[in-house]
Amino acid sequence: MRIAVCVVMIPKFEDTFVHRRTGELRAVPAMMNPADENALELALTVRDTVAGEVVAVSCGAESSETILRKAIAMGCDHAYHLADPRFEGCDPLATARILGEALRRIEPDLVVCGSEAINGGQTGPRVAEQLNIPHFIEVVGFRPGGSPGVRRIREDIEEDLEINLPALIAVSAGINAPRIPKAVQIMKAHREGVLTIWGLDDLGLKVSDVGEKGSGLKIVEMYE
Amino acid sequence: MTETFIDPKRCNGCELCLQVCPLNAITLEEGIAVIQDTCNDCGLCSDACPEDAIGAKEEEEVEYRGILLFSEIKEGKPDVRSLLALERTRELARELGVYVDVVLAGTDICDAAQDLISYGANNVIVARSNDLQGYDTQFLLELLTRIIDSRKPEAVAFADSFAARDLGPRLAQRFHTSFVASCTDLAVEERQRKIIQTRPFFGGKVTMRFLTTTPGPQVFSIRVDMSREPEKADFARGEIIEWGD
Repeated sequence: MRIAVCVVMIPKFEDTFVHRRTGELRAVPAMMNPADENALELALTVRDTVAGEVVAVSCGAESSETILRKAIAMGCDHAYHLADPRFEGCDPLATARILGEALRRIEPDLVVCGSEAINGGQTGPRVAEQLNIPHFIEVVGFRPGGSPGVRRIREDIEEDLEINLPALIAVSAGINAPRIPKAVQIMKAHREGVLTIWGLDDLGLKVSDVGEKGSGLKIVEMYE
Repeated sequence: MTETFIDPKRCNGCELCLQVCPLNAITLEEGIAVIQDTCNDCGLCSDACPEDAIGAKEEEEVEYRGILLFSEIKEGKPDVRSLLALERTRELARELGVYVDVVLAGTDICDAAQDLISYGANNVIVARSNDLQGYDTQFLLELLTRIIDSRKPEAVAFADSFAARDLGPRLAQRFHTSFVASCTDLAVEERQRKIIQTRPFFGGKVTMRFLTTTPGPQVFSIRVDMSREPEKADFARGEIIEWGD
């Protein structure tokens, strides 16, 4: 089974503020979105039981490489960094196009991402729409095998659902204990050849699909 | 930007337009006439075309009007969160001078539809389904897609809920537009005729106001105040529309 995990880098809340004089947002991406770590853990556990491979995918600025190296250190087989200067200013609509095109090339049986994120957890359903596959959000468990299934919590009701692959599952934060990579794994994660960078042209996207042009949302004001 | 447009399916490659164009702004590419950037939209080619393949591109193809709210149902009654969202939605609709259409899907939903009218729904679109005992993402997605295609609302609203998080972003991607979750405030921006969406970020440290810039419907969910009771509308008059296809 080939599993792709979408991860995103987010700022630390305590370091985020609106600059008093300029009115600009200070939000420096600094850590992996917590639910994405749970997504990685789930994917790695599945791979370890049924065999296959896990790849991590992230769309973001140069610094996103650090969370992709972390994903490799945790045990991912490969990582794809979707980076291009023209991607700057992407909203969730444009980001999902980029992730969708990357995943179309990776051809995973299962896509996993975090269910909660800064934007309200839009990535999962949006990416599933791009891929035209079913999505399941707020997932707390996944059962691989002949008839795969998910357990999710919908409005306080715990449900077990059978699913058909390929599918996308968005997992809730805190459903498992993400493994902590050992020093030797962290070192190995920095070797050559484990990380591929894909830009606009690699993904067959147009300039009008991405960045501010490809986005549907504009910030008109922000304040603390 | 030229607005003159050649329908490649109708063009038969006769080249009459090439002969009449005073700017030589039309070329033949693979047997089909193509307008170049030098075109000044004089319209001579359109008059000359025997196949009616040349016309002016319409500025805005579709006009989106009205607000569509997805109502959830609990034990035969509209979910209180949906009623609270309807309260807010009907105010926005009044400011915009449009109707609120509420979508209701399920089995025994007649009384719930009447309830929604008394809380300000102008139309309740009722989709009866015996299969809908539980919650079916796929069914609801297809239903809402068809309703949006047919009613063309300028905004699609949800109350904050699992359904909003499940359906909202996917519909937004399908209609190439934005989804703003958990809006704490919504305000009409008159010049662009859009609803400005406000929500907090980073655990409430930063509040942002968003304008949707895409031409289709904007999608959002409303964070409702569960400590208060929803109020009925002053002038409650609405229709129930049976949805079947």
